[in-house]
Amino acid sequence: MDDMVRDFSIVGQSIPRVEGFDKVTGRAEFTDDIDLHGMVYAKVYCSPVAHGKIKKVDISKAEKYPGVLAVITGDECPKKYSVNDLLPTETALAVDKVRYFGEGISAVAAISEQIASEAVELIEVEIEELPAVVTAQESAEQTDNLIHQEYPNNTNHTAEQIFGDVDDALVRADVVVEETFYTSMVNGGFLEPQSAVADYDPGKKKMTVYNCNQLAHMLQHTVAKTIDMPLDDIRVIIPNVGGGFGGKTEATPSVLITCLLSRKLGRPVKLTYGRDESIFQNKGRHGCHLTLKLGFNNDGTIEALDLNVLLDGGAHSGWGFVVLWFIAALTHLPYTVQNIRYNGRRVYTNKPSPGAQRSFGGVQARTAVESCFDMAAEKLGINPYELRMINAVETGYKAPSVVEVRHAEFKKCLQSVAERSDFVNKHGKLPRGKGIGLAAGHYSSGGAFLLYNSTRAHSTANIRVDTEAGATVFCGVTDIGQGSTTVMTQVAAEVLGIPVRKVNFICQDTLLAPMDNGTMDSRATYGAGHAVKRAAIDAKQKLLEVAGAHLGIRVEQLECKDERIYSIYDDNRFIGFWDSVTMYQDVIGTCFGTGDYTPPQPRGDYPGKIIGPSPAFGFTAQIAEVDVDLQTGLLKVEKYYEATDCGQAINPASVEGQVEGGVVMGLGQALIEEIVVDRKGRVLNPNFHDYKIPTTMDMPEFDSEIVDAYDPTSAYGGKEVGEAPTGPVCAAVMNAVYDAIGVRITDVPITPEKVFRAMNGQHSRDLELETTTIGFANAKYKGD
Amino acid sequence: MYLPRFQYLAPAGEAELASMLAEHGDKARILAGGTDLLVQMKAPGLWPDYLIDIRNVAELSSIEFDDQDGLTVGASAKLENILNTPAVAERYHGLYQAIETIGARQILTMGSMGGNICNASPAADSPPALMSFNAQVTIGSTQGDKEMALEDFIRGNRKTALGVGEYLKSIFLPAPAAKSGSAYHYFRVRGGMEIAMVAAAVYVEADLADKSLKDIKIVLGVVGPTPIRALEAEDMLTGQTPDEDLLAKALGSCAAVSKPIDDFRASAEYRREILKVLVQRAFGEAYTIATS
Amino acid sequence: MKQEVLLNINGSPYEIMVAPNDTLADVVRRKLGMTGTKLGCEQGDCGTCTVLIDDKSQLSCLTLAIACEGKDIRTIEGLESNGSLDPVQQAILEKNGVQCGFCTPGVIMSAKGLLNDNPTPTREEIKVGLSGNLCRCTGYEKIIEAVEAVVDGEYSAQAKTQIGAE
Repeated sequence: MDDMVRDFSIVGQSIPRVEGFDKVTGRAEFTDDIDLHGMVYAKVYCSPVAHGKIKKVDISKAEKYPGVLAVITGDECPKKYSVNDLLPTETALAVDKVRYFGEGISAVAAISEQIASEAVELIEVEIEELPAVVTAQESAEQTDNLIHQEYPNNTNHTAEQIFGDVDDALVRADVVVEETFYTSMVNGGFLEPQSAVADYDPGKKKMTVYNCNQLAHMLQHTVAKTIDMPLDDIRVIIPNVGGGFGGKTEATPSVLITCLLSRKLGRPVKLTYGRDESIFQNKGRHGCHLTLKLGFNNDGTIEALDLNVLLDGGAHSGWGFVVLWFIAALTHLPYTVQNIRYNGRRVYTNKPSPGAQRSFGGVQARTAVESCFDMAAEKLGINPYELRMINAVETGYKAPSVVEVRHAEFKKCLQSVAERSDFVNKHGKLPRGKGIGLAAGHYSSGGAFLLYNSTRAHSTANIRVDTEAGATVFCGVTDIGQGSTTVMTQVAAEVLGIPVRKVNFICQDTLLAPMDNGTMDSRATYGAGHAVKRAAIDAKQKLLEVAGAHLGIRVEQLECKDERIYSIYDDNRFIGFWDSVTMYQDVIGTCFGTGDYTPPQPRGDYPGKIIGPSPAFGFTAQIAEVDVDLQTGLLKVEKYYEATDCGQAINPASVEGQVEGGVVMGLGQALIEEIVVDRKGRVLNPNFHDYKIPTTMDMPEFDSEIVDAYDPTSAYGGKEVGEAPTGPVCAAVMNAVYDAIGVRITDVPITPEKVFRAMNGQHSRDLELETTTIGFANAKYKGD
Repeated sequence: MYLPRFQYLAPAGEAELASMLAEHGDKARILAGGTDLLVQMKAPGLWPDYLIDIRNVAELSSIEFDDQDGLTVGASAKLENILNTPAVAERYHGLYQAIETIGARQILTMGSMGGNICNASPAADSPPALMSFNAQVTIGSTQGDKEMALEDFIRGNRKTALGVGEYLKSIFLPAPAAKSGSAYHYFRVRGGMEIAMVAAAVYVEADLADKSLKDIKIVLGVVGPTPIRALEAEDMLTGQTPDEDLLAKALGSCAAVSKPIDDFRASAEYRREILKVLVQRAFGEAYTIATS
Repeated sequence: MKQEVLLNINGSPYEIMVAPNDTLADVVRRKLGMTGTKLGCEQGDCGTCTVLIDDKSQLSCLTLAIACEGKDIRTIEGLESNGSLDPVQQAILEKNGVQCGFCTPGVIMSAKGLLNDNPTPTREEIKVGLSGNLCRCTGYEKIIEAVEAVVDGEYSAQAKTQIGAE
């Protein structure tokens, strides 16, 4: 590794968030903080029934309520939409049918939130209730109780992917393990409930939308198509976002409802969801049933992987198509298995629809694979750490899916956690009740599903460097709290050799920023990072030419640092950066630069090839140490080791924050989170009282490390860290619990009752069907 | 999320409070900390015409301890202030433990023990601990005061003995015996901001000579619509020096009298198992304190 | 019936018309434009709306504005003084205890409430003291480290702060 390459000034520094001052003082504006002249408020009538035919919606009393300005129903906008128009099923408000508890049926706009709420109470709705389909297994068997008429067997999508010859490999394998798993339906739990403000200008016939969304341009598209307005008459501005984790990549009905009302009234309309509505809108993680078979040789090399997946899609399509294929891609990597078979099916159920959530497809995949690896390790008599090391990918690995892992320090991650935790000396050797478990994973970085299914650039950055504002970067990627604005600012500042405070980063605005695939699939640092760097270099080049002419030095011999442009051979020969800018302005014109990035086209010729390939991958290895109360089954994760390969950490403190946050989110799913519905599909825990996310008292002791790495294909060597860390957490805990009590729990959340029963010989898999996602309300154990 | 509209009254003293309650009857609810009441009012169903805020009724917020008599806590005394009363930590250990778990910091500064009792949630933390100390309550109204045992005051799931026009004035705990110990153990899944899934409060007075139990109270929490005194278990243990077999029988009796529910958080069967563990642990702690 | 109340917020007197059912959170956010106090659930389960009332951390979504006369109310806006951050704000900023920023004002006010009562909490006491504030982004680690740093004296009162690296 060339040391010169990594001699950075600003990249690699843990600078505080550039918008941090505003956040700690309460100045930072979020969508619900917005107050526009003449703004009115919307509230929604939410369906009290999970599945039914709408017979009547009587809005007459609501319309007459003093202070109410408009009331709309589904007929206002019956056009179906989805993510990127894939299998559209959703409408702004329910049309003819309701398909999940809490689905919006009608919306009121009034002069105050209080009046709007009171008016909603006056809406009269008659619904002919239909039987609710609440588990994926039941749904898959339905022939006549269809949630969407156009989808037989309630099947949203199926996926099959085959590489090599799995059946043959399984026969040849010395050891085969097989197990069935269930990962739960969880909610993003972002502290900021979804909120939207739409401001229709009746004079210009243009719409401005303010929404906490991760993908400004995709939202713009969805609004344009759904409410039927020209794309370029819509401007999406994204204020600060109070957490997204993938759940704010889709257009929620709140946006469409406010647009429709605003257009009707010719004045701004705001709609902010309550926590219950936020959970009804969900767009969290897919519940998933997985049956996995792994075949190994006696020497520990993996021969075969055979995975069947049934994905619980809730009421709508959303990202479902993509998750289904993504699980396939995330299952065989990060190990070197050649014979792979994947069969997946996504079905609809009458539940709040899942969408994308951090480590999208990764939690499901890692839970199954990492648990089965441990099972195989036991049968083979090989330590689980060793078994990973034998099969871990390295730089240059080409998967059977024709995906190349262009950079990997995965083995370093495994070594790091194993050494720090003394794993090999503890595993299998701790007193009963104490356990240690290993799990690992990866995630794509910079890839992402094409917004336009074309070769259009995924990220574009424009930069203007002038004495009036400094260096102003326009780039469409959204900071949802992960720190992309700070990272991009660091990148631009590094290229130009100017302080961070001289860089203005304008993003999250479709009028100002060029089209961007946005913040999803961990593509900001890698994808937008490239675009920003290229744009900055483009501008820098122009300034170097002027500086070079002034100094009498060739451009190739000049560099930018500390607000100077200087000769690399004699740093006494320099010109001030801003003097160079002035010169450029005076002699040539305003200094602009532009750059963009598109990942390499996916290769190969197999179904699902465009979902999963990525120009880079982030890696993680994790070890959980648990303590089980043998009398009650209460499980505490005492310590958590983690190692990350995120390439060069552009902002190490931000990386650590992503790891810590990602692991705790994973622990939430592993131990305490689940959206619970009853047999009628009614959500039983649509609030933070009963939908429990981790508190300070649920933190493990962290011991994390960023392994030394640098990905030369990335702008400054950096790769993703936003999503990989969440993937293996459930599996790490499952493996640790097995080590602690000798019983393998195969579904999450791992509640104390499950552990208690496991210790007493009753396994979760012996629960009758009703329990999964319905909680223990109907728990029946065989033999009860 | 909006609160329904109501009229707000803030009496300056007890007499005014009593007469407002008499006047408005069941159209009024008392507002103390608001951490239960206002949450319930934001959900459909609870819509009182009047909220009577007792924050200015000084008589209801006092906390007094007398070594002979015991502890008197005004209905609106803040949970935090009760925790900061030295006598509570020193003499009513189980109550201290119970109050600590009622909620996070913000709830402890806003909420009151009176509110915790009057809300009468089956999962309330203070009632089982209070009952283990033989707590008595004083109820006020324009008709004068009356007293009753806390266990008679809490009638069912969110039901108390308060009639129209009545309000909780104070809670009285007799002074515990010199050689006594107490504990409150709870079971919950999340580490913070969590209601108990099962709880047990134990008060023990022991004979230092033979370590036998002179007095024992076992109160089972969250396993029925109201806290349950495990009378049979108490009888088994009173006067005895506890050994493993006796304890096991007593625990079995506790499980037998409990009436836990099945819900999505846990099954009834499991809650019974946990109950036994908690009673055992609470007893162990209380007994250790009492015999030290 | 609305009535006029005098609320003392961040040291200034505000005379405003409030309805009995207006919460303090709604009043500061909607009527006074102090949107620093955020709403995460409005049911008392997340701590996001935490403010200080008479130096104690309280949930503004479950506090009636009409009941706040005569009290000293502090919101996040009251901590910073013309660019000088309160030590807790400074620590959270510099230790990277802020990501999306939505829980941040509530966390900071909660930490202030804790330190008002106990200026030298242990790590465990800090965790208990902040257990009423949910955060989904940070995993809490850097928030705890920030408060520990304040307790250790790393941040003196009202230090000046610079935005961005210099």
